[in-house]
Amino acid sequence: MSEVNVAQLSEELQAAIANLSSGGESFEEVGIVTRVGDGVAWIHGLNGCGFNEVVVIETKMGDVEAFALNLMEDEIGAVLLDGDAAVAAGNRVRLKGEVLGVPVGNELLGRVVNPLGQPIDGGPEIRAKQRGLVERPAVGVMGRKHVHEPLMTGIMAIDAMFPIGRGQRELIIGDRQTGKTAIALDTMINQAKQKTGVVNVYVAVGQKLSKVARLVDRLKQEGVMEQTIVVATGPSDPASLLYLAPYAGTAMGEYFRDNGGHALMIYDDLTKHAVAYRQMSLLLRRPPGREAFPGDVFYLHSRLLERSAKLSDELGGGSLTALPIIETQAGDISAYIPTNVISITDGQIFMETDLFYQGIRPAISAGLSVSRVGGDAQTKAVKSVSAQLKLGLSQFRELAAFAQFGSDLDESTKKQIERGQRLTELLKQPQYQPMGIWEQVVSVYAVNEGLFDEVVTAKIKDAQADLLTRLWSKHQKEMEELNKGEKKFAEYEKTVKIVRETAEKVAKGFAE
Amino acid sequence: MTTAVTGFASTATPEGDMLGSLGIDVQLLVLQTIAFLLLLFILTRFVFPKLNAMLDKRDAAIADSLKAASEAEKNAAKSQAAVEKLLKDARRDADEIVASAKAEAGTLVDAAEKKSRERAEQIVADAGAEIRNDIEKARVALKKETIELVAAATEKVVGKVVTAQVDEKLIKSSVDEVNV
Amino acid sequence: MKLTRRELADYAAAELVAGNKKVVDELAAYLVQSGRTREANLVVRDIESALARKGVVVAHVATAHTLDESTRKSLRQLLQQAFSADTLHLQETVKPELLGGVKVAVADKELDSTARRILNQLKAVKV
Repeated sequence: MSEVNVAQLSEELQAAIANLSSGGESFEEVGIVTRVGDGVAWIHGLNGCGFNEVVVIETKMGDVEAFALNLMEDEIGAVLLDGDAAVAAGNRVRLKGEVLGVPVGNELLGRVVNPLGQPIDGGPEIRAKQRGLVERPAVGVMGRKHVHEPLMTGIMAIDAMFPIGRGQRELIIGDRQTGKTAIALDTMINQAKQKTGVVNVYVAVGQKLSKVARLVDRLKQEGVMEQTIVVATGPSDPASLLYLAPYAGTAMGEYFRDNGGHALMIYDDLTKHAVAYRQMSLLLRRPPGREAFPGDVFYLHSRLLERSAKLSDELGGGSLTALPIIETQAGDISAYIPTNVISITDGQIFMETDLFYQGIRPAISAGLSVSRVGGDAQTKAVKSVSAQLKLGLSQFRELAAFAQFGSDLDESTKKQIERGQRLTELLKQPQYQPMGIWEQVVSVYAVNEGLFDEVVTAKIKDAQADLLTRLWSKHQKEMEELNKGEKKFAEYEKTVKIVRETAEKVAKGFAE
Repeated sequence: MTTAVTGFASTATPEGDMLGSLGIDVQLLVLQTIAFLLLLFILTRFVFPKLNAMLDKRDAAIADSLKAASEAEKNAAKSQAAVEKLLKDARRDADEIVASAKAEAGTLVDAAEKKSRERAEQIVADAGAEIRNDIEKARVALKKETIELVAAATEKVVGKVVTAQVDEKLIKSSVDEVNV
Repeated sequence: MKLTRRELADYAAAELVAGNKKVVDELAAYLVQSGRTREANLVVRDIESALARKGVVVAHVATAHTLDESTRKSLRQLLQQAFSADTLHLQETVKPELLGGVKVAVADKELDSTARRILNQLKAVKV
C-alpha cells in the first residue's frame, strides 16, 4: 500500500481490542523465575510444562519467550530466545500452550529471517497462513521413496563424479577458506539458472553477518533470491537461536516438501551448531562427554538430517535435499563431529586446502569424496560420458608422483598423465558460473575422447569456452535438446557428430 | 732431321726415276709413315680414349643438369601449389576463428548489457521496496503510538469510573464467568 | 543426598495437616543447617501447593478496593469449587493499581481478571 490508510488502521485497532481476552476464564499455571543468567532462566512452578514447550516470562520491558529444556523435580531450565537483560528473578512466567513453531509458506520466499520467523532484512512483518513445528519427527520408512531424480549443482566435478539426487544428504567438509560455501552458493544459483523450481533455504549458523549480507547481495544479483529463504543468526546471537536455526530452516523447507515441491537445505555450518549446543548444555548443567560435547550431540544432527528425504508418490513425491557444511581443523576428518555427520549423510564432498592453493578450484578431492546414491541420481547424458572420468582421474593421481620426477616413462603412462592433467584442468570452474547439462556433457566428452589431446594443457579452459560458444551459436537447437539429458549421449547421433567436428576444429586452433 | 732427310734426298736422286722426280723420297716416306703410324698408335691407345671419356663425361653431366633443372622446376611448381593450399586453409581457419571470436565477443557484450539492464531494474525495484518498507514502518509506529494513547486514556478513565460498588459487580460477574 | 523442595514440602504439609505445628521450626532449622535459606520463599510456595493437594487451600486475593462480604462469599464459593477445599484461608491485599476486578493466586495457579491485565495486554498487542 502506498499510503497510510487511517480508516484501515482504526479497523485493525478495534479488531485487536475486541480480541483481548478478559483473562478470567480459568486458573492458569504460573511460575516464577528463581535465577537467570547466561541465557538460561531457572523457573519454579509450572508443573504442567512439557518438554520444548514455550514459556512466556513477563518482564518490565514486555514479554520474553523461552523454551523449557530441563524439566527437573524442583525447577525448570528454560533457554531464553532473546537477550537475558530484561529478565529478572521474581518475574512471573506462564505457559504459552504450544511447542516452538515458525511461520512457513510462500510468504517467506525472498526474505531474510531469524529462527523465530521474524524478518531481519528491514522488510515488512511476515504474515504466514501456516506455522510449522521446529521439532518434528522424520518421515517413516513407508513414506519414503528411493532417490532417483538428480539435483544439478552446475559444478562439473560434482555432477560428473559425485552426483547429488533430490532427497539426498551430501556433506561438504573441509578446512576454513576452501570454498565450501562457494559450492553451496553455486548450487543455489544453478537452481535459478536452470529453472528447476527447487526452493533454496540457506541457514547461516553463527556466520558473520557481513558474510551473510554479501551472500544475499550476490543471490539478488543472480536473480536467485525470489526462490530462496535465508535464516540467519550471527555470532553474537544467543546460543539458543543458533541451536534452533537449522531446525527452523528445516521446518520451512518441509512445507515445500510436504506439498509436492522440492527444496534444498544448506546448513552453514553444523560445526558452529554443535558448539552452540555444547554451550547451552553446559549452562544447563548437563554432564559433558567427549570434547565437552553433551552425550546427545549425535542425535542433535541425526534428527535434523533425517528430515531431508524423498517422499513416496502417495505423499506427493516432494523432496528435501540437504547440503550440510562442516569445518574441519587441519584436515582432520576423524574428529568427533565430522565423523558423526559423515556417518549420518549419504556421502561427502571433501575440499582440500592443497588443491585450493594449487589453483584447482573447486578444490574437490576426487579420492576422498563420494556420493552413496551415485548413478541413480545422475542425468543419463552426463552419466554416459563421465564413466571414465573418475577412473581416469584416480589413475592420474596414482601416477602423478612419477610425473613430478620426470623420469623416463613409457608411452601409455605418459598418455595417462597427460589425460589426467587435461581432465584436472577441465574440471576447474570459476565461481558464480554454473554449467548446464549440455555444457558438461560436451566438455567431458571432448577431453575424454581425446579430441583435445593436441591442446596445450594451460589452454584447455579457453578451448572449452571456444567450443561451447561455437556450439551454442551454430547448433542451439541440438544443444537445447541435449540439455534435457534424457538419453545417453551416444544416442544423440547427429549431436555427437557435430560435437566431434567442432571439437576438432577448435583443437587445431589451440594446438601447440 | 731435315738435314738428314735432305741428305738422303741428295744421295738418292741419281738413281731417281718417277718417285725421285715427284720429290718423294721413299725412305723418307716410309719413315714418315712409320712415325705417323706410331703417333696414331700412341694417340689412339693413350690420348683419344681419355679425351673421349672426358667428352662423354661432360656430355653426361650436361644432360644430368638439364634433367635436374627440369625436375626442380616441376617440384617448385608442386610446392607452390601446396603452399597456396596451406595458405588458403589457414586463411579459412583464421576467418572461422575471427568469426567465432566475434560471436563470443558479441554474446559477452549482450550478456553484459543484459546484466547491467537487470541490475538497473533491480536497483529501481529495491528503491520501490525501500519506500514501501518505510511506509509500513511509519504505519506500525503510528499503530503503536495509538495503542499506547488508548491504554493511557483507558487507565485514567477506569481509575475514576470504577468505585467500590462498581468493582463489586465487576468481581461478581467475573467470578461467574470462571469455568472450573 | 540433597532433599528436593518437593519432598520437604510434602513432608511439612502432611505434618501441618496432622496438626504438628512444630514442623515449621524443624524446617527452618534444616534450611539454615543445609545453607538453603535462600530457597525459603520457594519452599513456602511448595508447601502451599502440597497443602492445596491435601485440601487445605491458602488463597492470596488482590483487589483494587476492599472486599465486601457478599463478594468475599462468592469468591469463597468459587475457590471451594475449583480446589475442592476442606479448609479455605483467604489472604486479602488491596492494590489500587489493579484498577478493578480481582486477582486470585493459589499455590502455583492464578486467576487474573483485573482491568490492569487487559490494559497490559492492549499495550502488548503485536502490531
